[in-house]
Amino acid sequence: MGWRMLEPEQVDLADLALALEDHSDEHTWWFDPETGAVEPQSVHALEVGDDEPVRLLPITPLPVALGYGDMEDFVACVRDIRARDLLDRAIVGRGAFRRFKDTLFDFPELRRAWFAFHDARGERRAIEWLVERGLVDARAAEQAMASRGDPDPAEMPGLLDAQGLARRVAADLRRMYRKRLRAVLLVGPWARGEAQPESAVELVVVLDRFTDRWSEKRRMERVMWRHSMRNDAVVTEIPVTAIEFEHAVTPLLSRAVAEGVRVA
Amino acid sequence: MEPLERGREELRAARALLDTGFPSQALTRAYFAGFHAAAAALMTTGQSPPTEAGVLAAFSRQASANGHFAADDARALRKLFEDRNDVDYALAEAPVHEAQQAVDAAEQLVASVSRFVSGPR
Repeated sequence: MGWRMLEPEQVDLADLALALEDHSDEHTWWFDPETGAVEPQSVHALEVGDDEPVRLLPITPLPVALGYGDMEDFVACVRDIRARDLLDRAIVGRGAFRRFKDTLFDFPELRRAWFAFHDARGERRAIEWLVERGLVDARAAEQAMASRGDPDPAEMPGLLDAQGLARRVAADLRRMYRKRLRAVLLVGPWARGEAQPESAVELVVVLDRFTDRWSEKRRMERVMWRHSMRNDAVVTEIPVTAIEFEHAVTPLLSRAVAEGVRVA
Repeated sequence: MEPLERGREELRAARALLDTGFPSQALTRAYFAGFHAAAAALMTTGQSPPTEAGVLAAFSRQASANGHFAADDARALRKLFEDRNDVDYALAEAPVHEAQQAVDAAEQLVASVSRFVSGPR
């Protein structure tokens, strides 16, 4: 194709993301592979013979279903029951995008969170579009993608950062048990990526050894309750010995080993 | 069957299991007594969370934010939930005294919710 590779940061990724979700009949979007510029052209301008688009690449919008999926994914993370119910209803049927945005006006913090979420996903898709056309180096694209992950739920109002919460619990347990604490794993739906907003934050706490599991549970109870209350969540734990964990003596422990997210 | 009545029934089952030598099973029933009581309390305030975890979270929220229920009740419910999970995962057999405490906690929770449901709001 004869053009040099661009750096992802040379491209206005927000504009490219906008173009990729623009299904307007009034104009089309074009990409200049030499400069990285993203420009709309009216349909009329193209029809009258302007030859400039010849060196430009057309930007075909991505399927609407992707945007719909983004809304679904976002709503699934909303913990405020009323907001989630309203948003859930908003995204059903025709006019879903408009209703979804209208509903967010009643929840300003969630609205800001949505734009952060939406922009991150849009820019990642823009980078993928550039990679697929050989316009940017794959390694540079990978770095650019990594810096545009879905926003940290801890910084988003109404969303639970289960891993962050688990790490804070683990830090408290470390102070309590010191060297006796071998590991803390986040297990269950939050580890599997299947959590509902209110799903319990389930932890497996690996201690070097103990003689009475219930005594350890009672010792940790205050920590679990404190973090539950602070985070408007249900945090639970099961203490296991290092030997039990290594030998995965029950199906729970087998799963914990396979899918658990180690936070300490 | 209404949730509060179901809670009372689970409580009777928990006591029966405890009396006949099934402490782990008694603990599980004690949890469900507390769970159904919590669901009944939430229904009174116009809430019906669709999931089990949703009931627990909403009950805690009501206890802390609105003071509708004592925080101790919410704390007891979280503990019952955790203990029941641990027993159901077959990692922990409940000793009799733990099962007894669970049944006592569930009894307290059911009584607390009964007062709330029948009292002025």
